[in-house]
Amino acid sequence: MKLKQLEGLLGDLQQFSHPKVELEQYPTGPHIASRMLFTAENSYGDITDKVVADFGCGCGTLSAAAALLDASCVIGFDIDPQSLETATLNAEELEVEIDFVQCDVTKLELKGQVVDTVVMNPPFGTRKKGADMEFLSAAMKVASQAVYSLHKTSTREHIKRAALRDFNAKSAEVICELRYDLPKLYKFHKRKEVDIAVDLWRFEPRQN
Amino acid sequence: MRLITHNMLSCNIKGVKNGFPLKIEAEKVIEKEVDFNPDFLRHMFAKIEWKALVEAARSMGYAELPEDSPDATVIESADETFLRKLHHALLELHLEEGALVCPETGRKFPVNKGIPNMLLHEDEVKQTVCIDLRKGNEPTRIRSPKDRVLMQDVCIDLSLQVP
Repeated sequence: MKLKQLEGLLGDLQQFSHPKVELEQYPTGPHIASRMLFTAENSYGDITDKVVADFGCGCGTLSAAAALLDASCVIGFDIDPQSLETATLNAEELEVEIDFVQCDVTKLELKGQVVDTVVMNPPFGTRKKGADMEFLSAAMKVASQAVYSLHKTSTREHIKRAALRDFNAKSAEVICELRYDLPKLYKFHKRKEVDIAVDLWRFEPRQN
Repeated sequence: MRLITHNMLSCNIKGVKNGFPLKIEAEKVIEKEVDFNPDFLRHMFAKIEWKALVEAARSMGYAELPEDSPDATVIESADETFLRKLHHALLELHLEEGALVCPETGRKFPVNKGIPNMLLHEDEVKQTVCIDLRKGNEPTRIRSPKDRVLMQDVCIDLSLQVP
């Protein structure tokens, strides 16, 4: 599948009808999502024929991208039942198989490093402080091959230190810096649109 | 939810020593065909908890899997018979309605429209502690994500949990 085609398909997905601010629900745009997964597969071979988990999957954009790039098994985890309903519809629309699990990802216990790759666009920690770190910690516990995650560029040094020191990372690299364009979604948003500098990270966990 | 996912899930209620595997109460099971990928199945085989899979498949009405985990020669051979059964059990059976049951506490996690709800109640959640280097290695309870962020530099094991 070509990048443009992937981006096009992801652009047709339904997004949050009533986003919940306390969960930091923001759609992962097709531009970012397609590039994130395309790079994960073309540069690192982390998606096709692999077991991929999407932590905080929301409406399932990253999950859908993984499925379209022929991951052999995709599982989306999210705490919000409405998002999971939308994610289910999106998967049906694309005719891809994705399992969804409703849970608090930060409290999830899987049977060890059972997935190959985790992809995620976690909360940045603006509502629930430390949420970004908790998601990263949880992801590093279940991935055997790689974790792809988006974090604010302003937290770069902090993330790198925590990943290598506390979260069992063999390596922690910023693959690229992206501009995450957030549309005015919530009442407290003053500007029509805002651009946040985010890093796309690739973490390699140590084998347990 | 397919059995490949079920084979990963564990009960995370506080006090539970071994929450794996979750028992399946199946009310509605559907079958959906997907493409057969023998290489993926061979790669996946090592990670599967075999007894859990056999039991789970049986709960879903599929009893074709051998009781004992086959040895490597069966997996590596060109004979696809076994792999086809594994494929069917792992990837083509969907639990649409029912429940996943914790083997220790009997707590039921409902499954609706194929989605298991693993959310815990307030009193079921484990408390997180860290070892606080300032207090002579005394376990200090982390009460909120903010605590965790503040503790970051003084704790040596943030993932430590009390039951």
